Amino acid sequence: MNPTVTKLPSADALLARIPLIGRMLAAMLLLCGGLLALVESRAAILRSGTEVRLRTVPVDPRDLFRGDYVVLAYPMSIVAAAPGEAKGLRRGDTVYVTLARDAEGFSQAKAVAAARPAPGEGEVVIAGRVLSTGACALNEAGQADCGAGAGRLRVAYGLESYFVPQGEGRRIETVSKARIEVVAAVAPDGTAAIKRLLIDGKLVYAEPPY
Amino acid sequence: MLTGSYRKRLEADLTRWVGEGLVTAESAGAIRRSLAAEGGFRLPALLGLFGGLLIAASVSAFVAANWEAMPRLLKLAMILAGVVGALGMAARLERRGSATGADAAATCAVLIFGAGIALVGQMYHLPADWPAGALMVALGGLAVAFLMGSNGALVVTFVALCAWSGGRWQESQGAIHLPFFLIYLPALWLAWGRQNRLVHHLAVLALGFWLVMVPGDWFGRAFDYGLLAYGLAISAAFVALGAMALDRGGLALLGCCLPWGLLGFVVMLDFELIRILDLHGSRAGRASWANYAAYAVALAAIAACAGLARDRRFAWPLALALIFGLVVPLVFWSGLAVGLPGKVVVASLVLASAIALVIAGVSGGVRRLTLAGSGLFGLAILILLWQTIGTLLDQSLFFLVAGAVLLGLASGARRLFARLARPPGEAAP
Repeated sequence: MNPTVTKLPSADALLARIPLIGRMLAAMLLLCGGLLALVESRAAILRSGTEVRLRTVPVDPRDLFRGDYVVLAYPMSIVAAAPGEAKGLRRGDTVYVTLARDAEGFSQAKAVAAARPAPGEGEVVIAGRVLSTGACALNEAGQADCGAGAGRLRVAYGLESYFVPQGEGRRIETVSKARIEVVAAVAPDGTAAIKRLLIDGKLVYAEPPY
Repeated sequence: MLTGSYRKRLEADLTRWVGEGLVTAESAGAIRRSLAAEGGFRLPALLGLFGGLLIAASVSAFVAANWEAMPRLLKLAMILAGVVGALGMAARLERRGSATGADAAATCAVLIFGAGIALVGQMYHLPADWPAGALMVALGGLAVAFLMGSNGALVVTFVALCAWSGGRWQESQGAIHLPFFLIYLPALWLAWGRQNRLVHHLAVLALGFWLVMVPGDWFGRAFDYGLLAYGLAISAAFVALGAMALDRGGLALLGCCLPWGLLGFVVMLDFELIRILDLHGSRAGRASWANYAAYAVALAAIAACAGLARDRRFAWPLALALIFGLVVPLVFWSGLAVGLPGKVVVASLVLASAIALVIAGVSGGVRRLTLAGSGLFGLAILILLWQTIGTLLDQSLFFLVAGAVLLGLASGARRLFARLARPPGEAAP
């Protein structure tokens, strides 16, 4: 081997000092531990998060590696920030949306803030990521209505995809959107996960922590 | 590292040399045995690798099917068992001396790990944030590449790393993604010590991919002609680095910069030639900070390549070819581009660069340079015939002068080559 190559210590030569069994066990631990840590981070939200009921708007695409899923949108996906808050918010920023229950028990967005506010009585604060700052308001039918200007925030909460067995996406898609609701669990830090999916108030899918 | 085509050539040469009495039959046999020891025909390991890839694909499709008859905890357990099993198999094969088989098993473990990430995403309905998934796969691949010495896992790491960085780049509309290097540098360190050509090429290509993203989101948003100069400078720097590695020998990874740099260099120069002959394309474009930085790096690399070269016969013409190429964008910025003089200068520079590349390739015995120079030359002639400089009469005059210069060069070449082709020992001062 050329002397100029050996100046940099080879990573493989350094690691070869650890016995093969040790390296194999470390690799197993890292890969399996990584997967289990990912599982636990989500299961914790489902176990102990606060529940909120949400109305939805679905469509049906497909993910190459995870199969069919339903894309869900919520009335709170488009929120109007107070003029003072909206300034300085950019795509990719984290925002905190305060949810309050309406007369029917569904949670509605009440306020948006860049810093996490303390929730009031009966309120839940959910964290989201700004997708765009130039969204139009949604009307009663769930369509964009730019009459009032296009200065609203489009926010993603991590509740936008629901994975279903192959072929079942269409079944949910054909259901009128007004009939689908989602119960989500919100962790104290604002991270949310889908817990139950209901059609006409009847349970269709429930998500146990594991 | 010996390529298959070199083995074939050597085999033919050995037969000839033994026939001509240059090499004894025993020495030829010894050479063949030493070649076989470096890894000859490795069909079982290759088939094993393909088998492992198919199994990983099967696991991935199984996860995507989201089959309800099987509880998802069982699916997760199967994934974990798959990872553990594949890694255990890798250790066992390595102990038995089958390095390639061990590599295939370790690669399979990383791919099953990737399927596991997809499964967790499905179980908990994580939003379709594929760059985050790619990051997880890259981290898993890096861990296995480090711990199990796997080249396949390193390949997966580089590909997943680019997917992650590219995804984040697109999301942020072209912001520079520096976290790329948190994974790239350790992976590069690993790749540096490996003997695998694919790993070397991917290490170079991953850096090239990141460099392409530096000037912002030119792909989805406004494209600026100044970017061609950036691409040209980056390509020239790659060529100079690759040539330096080739000249010094032994730096296999850096040597992989050469073909990709040449490809970029030829494509960019041809683009410049096309657009200076085009009425709408011959605009200066903006020079961003990225252009200046790329030019500085390119000039430093070219100077190092020319100054430190052991074999000046190929390093100096190559440096000249690269400089000719780098001058082309300056012609655009000087404001000459719209007139006939600018077109003549750019066309001459492109042809001169091509000829210098061919000279470097022939006198240094580097086929890739000869090929790139001839390709650039041929393409430039085609472009000039298609979009002429001024009238066809002007074009004819340009070709006549260029042809005469080349003929003059050819007649002087004998003397030139006699001086350049002196063995390095004599040429050194």
